[in-house]
Amino acid sequence: MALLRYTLSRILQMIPVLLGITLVAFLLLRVLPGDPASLMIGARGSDADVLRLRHQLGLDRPLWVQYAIFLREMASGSFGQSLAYRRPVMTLIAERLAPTLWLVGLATVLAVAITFPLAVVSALRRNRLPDLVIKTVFTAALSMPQFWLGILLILLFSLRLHLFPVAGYGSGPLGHLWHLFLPAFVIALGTSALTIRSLRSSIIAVQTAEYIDTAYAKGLTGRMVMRRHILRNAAVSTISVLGVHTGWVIGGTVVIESVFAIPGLGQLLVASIAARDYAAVQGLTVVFAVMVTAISLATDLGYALVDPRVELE
Amino acid sequence: MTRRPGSPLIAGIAMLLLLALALAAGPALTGYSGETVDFSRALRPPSAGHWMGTDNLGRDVLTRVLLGGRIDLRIVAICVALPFLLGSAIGAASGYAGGWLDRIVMRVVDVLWAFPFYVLVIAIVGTLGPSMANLYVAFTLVVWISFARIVRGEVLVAKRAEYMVAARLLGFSHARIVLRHLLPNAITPAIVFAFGDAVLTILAVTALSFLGLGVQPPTPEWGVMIADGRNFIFDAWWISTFPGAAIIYAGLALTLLGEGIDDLLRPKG
Amino acid sequence: MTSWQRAGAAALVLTAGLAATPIAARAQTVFKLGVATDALTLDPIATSDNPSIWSQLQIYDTLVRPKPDGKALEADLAQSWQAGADGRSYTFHLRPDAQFSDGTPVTAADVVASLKRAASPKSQWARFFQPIAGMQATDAHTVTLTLKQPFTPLLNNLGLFSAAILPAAEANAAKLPDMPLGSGPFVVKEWRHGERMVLVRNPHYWDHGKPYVDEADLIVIGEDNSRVLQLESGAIDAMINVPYNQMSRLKASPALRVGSAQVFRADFVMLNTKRKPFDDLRVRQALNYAVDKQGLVRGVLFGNGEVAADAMPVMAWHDASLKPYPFDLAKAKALLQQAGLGAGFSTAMLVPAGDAAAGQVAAAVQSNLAAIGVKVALQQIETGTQWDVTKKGDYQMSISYATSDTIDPDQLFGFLAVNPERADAYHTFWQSTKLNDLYAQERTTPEGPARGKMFQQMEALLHDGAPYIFLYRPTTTYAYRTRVTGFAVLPTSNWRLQDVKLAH
Repeated sequence: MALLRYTLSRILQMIPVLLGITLVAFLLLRVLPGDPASLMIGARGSDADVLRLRHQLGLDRPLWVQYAIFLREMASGSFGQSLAYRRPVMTLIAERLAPTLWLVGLATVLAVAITFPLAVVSALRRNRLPDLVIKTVFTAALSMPQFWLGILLILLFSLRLHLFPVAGYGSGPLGHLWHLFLPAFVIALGTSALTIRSLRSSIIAVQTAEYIDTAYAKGLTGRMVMRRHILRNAAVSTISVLGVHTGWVIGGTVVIESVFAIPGLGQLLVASIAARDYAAVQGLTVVFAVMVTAISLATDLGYALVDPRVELE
Repeated sequence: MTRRPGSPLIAGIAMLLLLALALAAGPALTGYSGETVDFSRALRPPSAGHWMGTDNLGRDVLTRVLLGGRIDLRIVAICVALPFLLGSAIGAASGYAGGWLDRIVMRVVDVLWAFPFYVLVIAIVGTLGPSMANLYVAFTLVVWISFARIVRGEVLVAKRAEYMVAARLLGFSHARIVLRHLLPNAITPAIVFAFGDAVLTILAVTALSFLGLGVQPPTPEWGVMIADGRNFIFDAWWISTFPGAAIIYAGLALTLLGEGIDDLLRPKG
Repeated sequence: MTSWQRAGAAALVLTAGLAATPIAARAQTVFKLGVATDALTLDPIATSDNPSIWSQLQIYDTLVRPKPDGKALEADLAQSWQAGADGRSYTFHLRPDAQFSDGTPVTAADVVASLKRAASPKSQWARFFQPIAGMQATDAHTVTLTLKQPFTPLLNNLGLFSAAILPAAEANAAKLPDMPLGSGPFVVKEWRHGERMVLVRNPHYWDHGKPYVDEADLIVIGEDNSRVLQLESGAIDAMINVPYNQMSRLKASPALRVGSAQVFRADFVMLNTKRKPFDDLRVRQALNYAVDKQGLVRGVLFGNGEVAADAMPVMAWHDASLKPYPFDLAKAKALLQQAGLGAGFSTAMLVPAGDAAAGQVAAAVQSNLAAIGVKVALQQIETGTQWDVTKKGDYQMSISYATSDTIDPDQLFGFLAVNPERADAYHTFWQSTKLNDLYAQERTTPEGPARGKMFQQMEALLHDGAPYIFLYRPTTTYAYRTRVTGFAVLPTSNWRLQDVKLAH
């Protein structure tokens, strides 16, 4: 019951944020200079053609009317018409959503797989060799530009060793996993560099907590304490730590998709920016922000579900 | 901590000093201009004459890496300083004043927080058009929220501290309380954050330039150089490899420095 | 059913569907072409990007089409045509056997509807067809076009993709931009935007026996290196836009063949002749002597192109004897001296952002001109903004290029050299009354050597007037695996996939 109430209140809190998101996405492209009509017409048309296109696109109407139209189109699910592709923005986004979700999902799974064991080792062997090695390696990983690491991995694993494809998204679930492994790994490595640190310190904090002492006092062996208490708590922390970095993971796909030629939302964003495709950029920024908001809601709820100590206000 | 407390700080400062010296010397160190095009010297591998080889226009790669470093470090400094100033000011005002101002600021922060960093930066730079000045605008508009959150939180805590109560009882003006008493205490975590942010900024700036959304060729900039050299990765690996290594070096130096500053300034609990 | 099984089932259904075609007896042949960018739309009148044009040319026919050498026209949907003696009418006789991909015949009514649509205000290409005053379907397979006055480029304009013939009933169909109906060699089977366009052979295509392949996939691989690697690994059969520096490496591979097509493109630096010192012919010529264009062809194009004597691509009637300005610093300095600028001057040059080659050209031009005392500040600018800025005359120098949509040199001369006409000689504001007169004359002269001579005079005038620093004409590079025959990039930059054959 408390959980249900908490969920509802969190969803209610999201409404003004969502409205704000649409307003920011809308204003971003109207307030900043640049005219899509003249860009689209380019060398082939006259000033009259530009004016006509501006009218056709509704760019000559008052800002608030344009915003109202934007909201209406979003409510209808079309997100407006893409200027470059001449199709509803939502159709474009729907086509590109799957590769990005696969990439984000795989990157998250890999990040957990990297973070969890390494953070535990780091915490248990605190300030000894394994901890220092992990720390050094991931400090370097954090300083490494992802796009450059991507190129190097393609060079090594795809070209020299022929283990992975050089680009693309593949077909079928296994094909996706195979094609997306390297790009997901690049994102996961950068994310792990951030998460290992916070997880390490939270495990250390748990280790020194009173109830662990109690557990030892109850006669549990070291391994059992590790399994029953420390790991369980560490798992909970991992969820919350990853939740905090979701924005980072999702944002990272924008750059990585371009390097690995993955036909996802990130590549579409870069292409739409280049084409000054207002409607597409608007729709995409809204979708990205909603994705982050939804995932952070989900992590909060998951956190509340797993960890009984979380107070549901 | 068994590790000597100052070691990352010293290592970071040493690495940065070395870099700064090399960048300051620049073309004087190498004897090439880095901008003169000479097709007869194109695509030379690293040698005694050209430590990092030459690119397809016959320009010395080492000289361009050094020139690029000047540009990248300047961009990073500005892209961290502007949001730091803006965010800290807004955060302090919002936390100190409270009330409707605080509510509005926090709503804006909440909304902006929902956008992934790269998405918002790319959208802003893309709309304004790719240039160095527009990078400054984009980073300022996006990153200030982090500083505002941190400083506001600290101010809220500090407001309740004893010396604050004393200051108010003494009848000090708001400006004096904020500037002389509140900010100096509240700003430390923001400074620590700024150094961590510098690492992410250098990665983001080079990534945007690599995507063609930041600094533009032929300006020597590390991300641009990697993008330019990318098609030569088979026959002239040196063109893109050395700028890549330079980014890692600078990133590492900033990371160590940030950790060192963190150890130094943040009270350990 | 798991999604894995579902995918398998879907694949079975697809294969079963294809097997129903008449060529079921032998194995399906699929040609995979790697392209850098996806098409945006398949609506011919709403198109301005090359990938859309190239895709449309596989799907639609036009009345006439450029010959593979790009110098003249040949029959396409119209098997023959006549021009009226006064140059004011054209009569086209359609192939009686031509059919759209759904099996309905192509009629004169379809042609009239399509051309009317291309000339309508909602067409981005209306200007090319507006000289047509009347269109009549004389009978089911004869179309007559009438003009108010003679307009020679019209015939070439009818060979443009924007004059594609579609069924009259489909002209306003909602699916037109995605899944159009045409009479060309291929039909769109599936289009995953940004990923691939799957074209299957049109069984009703009028050129019997063609296409030779059952399916042609246009696979979008934006990253140049990835495209090359996929070709080398055999994942694709052919690719366009090989990075220039990798051409020699691919040429050496026994599994591959490479090609370098002389397409309709020329690169140059625009000079604003309204501004000092570019109003002085001697200064403009000095700049042309001071740039090492051969070096640019070597260093930027890796030999895949030639130094240009003027701003025109090599098109019909091109005068090959016109020699480029040689690289001659002494002469450049002398000319500047005569112009009273012996000490050089400072200026600025617009460089289109996001164009790697333009960035390199900028660096080279800047470095070259420094040698004669001309200091050039580089200003990065977005391509969309660049057009607006140069149009207003708010610039000094600007790196740009021109490509031709039609095979008629008239279009580019009108754009690059005639002032005012379409763009004030591409925003250089240079004017030659002699060239303007020749242009007006050429447009009403019937196609032939007399018209060709006029083009050659215009080209020479453009060369002498030097409103640009003429740079080079780059080629379009492509490569394919040895099992492929019949694949080539044409001077019009497109390809005819109906000619492609695959060996086993």
